Amino acid sequence: MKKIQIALAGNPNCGKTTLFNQLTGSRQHVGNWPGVTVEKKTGFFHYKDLEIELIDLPGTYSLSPNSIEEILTRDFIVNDKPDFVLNIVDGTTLERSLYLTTELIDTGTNLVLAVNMMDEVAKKGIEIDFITLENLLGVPVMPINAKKEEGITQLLDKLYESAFKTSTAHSVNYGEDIEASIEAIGCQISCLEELTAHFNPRWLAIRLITGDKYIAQAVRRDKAYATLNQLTAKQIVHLKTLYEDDLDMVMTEKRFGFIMGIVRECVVVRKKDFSRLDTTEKIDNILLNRFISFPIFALILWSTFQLTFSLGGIASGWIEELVNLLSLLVHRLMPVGPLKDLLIGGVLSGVGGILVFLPQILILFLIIAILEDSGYMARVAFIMDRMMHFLGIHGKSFISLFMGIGCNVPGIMAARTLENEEDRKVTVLINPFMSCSARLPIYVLIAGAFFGQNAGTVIFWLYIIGVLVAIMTAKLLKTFFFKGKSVPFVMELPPYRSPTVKSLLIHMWERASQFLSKMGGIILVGSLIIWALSYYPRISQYSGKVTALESQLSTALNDDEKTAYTKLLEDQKSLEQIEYSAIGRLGKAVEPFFKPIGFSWKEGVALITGVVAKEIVVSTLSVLYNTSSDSEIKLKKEMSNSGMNPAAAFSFMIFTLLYIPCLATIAAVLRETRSVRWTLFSIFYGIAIGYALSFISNILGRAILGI
Amino acid sequence: MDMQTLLVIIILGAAGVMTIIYFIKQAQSLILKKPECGCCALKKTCKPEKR
Repeated sequence: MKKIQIALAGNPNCGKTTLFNQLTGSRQHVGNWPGVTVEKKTGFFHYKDLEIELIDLPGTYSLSPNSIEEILTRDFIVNDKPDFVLNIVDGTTLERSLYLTTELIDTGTNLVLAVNMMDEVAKKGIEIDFITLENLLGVPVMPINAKKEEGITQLLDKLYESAFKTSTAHSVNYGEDIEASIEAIGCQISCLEELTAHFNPRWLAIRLITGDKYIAQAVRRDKAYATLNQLTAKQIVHLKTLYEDDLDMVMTEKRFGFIMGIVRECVVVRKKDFSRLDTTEKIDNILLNRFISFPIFALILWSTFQLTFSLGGIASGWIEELVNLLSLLVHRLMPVGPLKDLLIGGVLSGVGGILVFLPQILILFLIIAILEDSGYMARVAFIMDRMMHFLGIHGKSFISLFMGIGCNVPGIMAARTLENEEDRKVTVLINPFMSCSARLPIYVLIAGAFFGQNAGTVIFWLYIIGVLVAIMTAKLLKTFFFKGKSVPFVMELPPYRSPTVKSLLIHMWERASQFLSKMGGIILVGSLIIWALSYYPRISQYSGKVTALESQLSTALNDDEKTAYTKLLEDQKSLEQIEYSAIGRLGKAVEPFFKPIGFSWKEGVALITGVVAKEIVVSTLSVLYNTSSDSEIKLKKEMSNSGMNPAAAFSFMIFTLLYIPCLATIAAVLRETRSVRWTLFSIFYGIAIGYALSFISNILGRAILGI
Repeated sequence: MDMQTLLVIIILGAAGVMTIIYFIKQAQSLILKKPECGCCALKKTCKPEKR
């Protein structure tokens, strides 16, 4: 079996990841907005006698590197030299999409062109002559519809036919003078083995003439290429004298000239799709209206949390019953001993206590997927851009912040789309303030216990507080540390599309599988360790209260009294055991720190363990309050007994939102900022702002509620 | 030592090992790999922070 490597390249939001998922059977995240893929992803599949390694590259409009993910795409194509580049273009925007194609042809790579979104091409009344297009470009061309899996087999046949053939692509003709310079410089490059080992001479010559800020500068700095540099300088002067303009601009114009010629030859627009344009425009007239766009967005967000809380609660009830049933089974079937305690108190309390929130997470991400796939999220970025720019932050930051709602780690990585390094760092540092899905179970549990009917609204405000703190922090950082000016933001607004059921199911499956794998991994392990720390060392002598209860039990007159005293005795023993245990001692040690913001030592311990993964806060509370899944009412009672009230509950959620990010997020901040200083800032600033706001909220809450 | 205690020790031991592995994995992900780019291909000292 022959092995080949194919890279998927194309503009953002042209359907690369959709095709990648179709071919490899993967379930990578796709969305109807640009910038979803920021890392290269690899998948494998077989076709005939070929074993194909498929690389999904981040979307890019050109090979002139402006942001990290664009550099990643270019470097992979130029340096790693895949056997093929499968260039996906959006058939409805052929003129714009072919710009990257012309640059790819210049790299000398083997190219196959897939014209995607053919259903929309037809709807817009566009007709493309693919045979002429293939002849003019000199590369195999295949129309496809990745979303509906149309043309995929034919595309694979094209790839198979073209495998191991030399490229016959037609490069752009930049005109006699520029071509002469390219040839002269290319000829010189061909003599330099070190360069030809890495680069196609024609491509490198073009990059040198256009003054590529990385490659050309690197060549210029090297004395070994003195002759080449002299020749390049001479040619640039010559060309500049002829054109009296920036050469990059001149060559861009030549490329567009070439593309326009091609489009004129092979594209005919039979009718304008006024109805479709009208639909998108009509919706945008309302959703992007200067006065009501923001209230509409706030209303959608609020409804999202209301639905998440109310609908999710129903399904949660079923899981709760299942976990209760399992606890009862273990209780009845197993003899008394530490293993039984571990299964009930550690596994079922810890993992079961979190598992009940799976429906809420699924509902939240189903709604988000609908908003994302329909194209509304791109509009939200546009709406937020006005506010972001007012505060001096780049509009693209919002995309990264929004992705942080799923998980802060991909949110932080999404900041790579920002071209300005300072804006990127600011975005990375504010991302941990976004309420990720791991915080949702904490909100649902605590808000459900202390705020009843208003839980949805409370959760909505927590998300808003996160965004406000993130924006304020960004403003602070931009004012004092990163003073550079923000570059303007142009967000492509895709047409509204109705999300497919398959895509929505994939989104939900992505989230469910992430959640469940975390359940079976870090949360299970964390729950076991927390249980062990609360179970050992074993108490040898109980207090006088236990002795008193024992004597009351022995003198109980009837069964009802006996049951009541047995329950009281068990609770007292459990309380004394936990206070005597390792975690109890740790809790008592940290209690003074948390006391001013209204938390008992149990919440303090839960927050400490939550640094590993935020869900563990819920596991810890379930283990320490021994509530397993018969949750909210009992938890409220137990927490209230420890001194918790609605004011402290709200400040607990604020602290959970803002304090130290989880371990994986800390690692992501360090990786992306490459600075220990800024990572430490992220940790301590989070604690400080979390503590301050929790303190204020606790005091205000107590004053308002008269506690 | 009874069977339940033995099993608890084994389970907690495994949990401890998995925790250590998790921390090592997080630490490994922090090893800053110099990204490959045209400048690296030219064997130049590429400064990632400039990118």
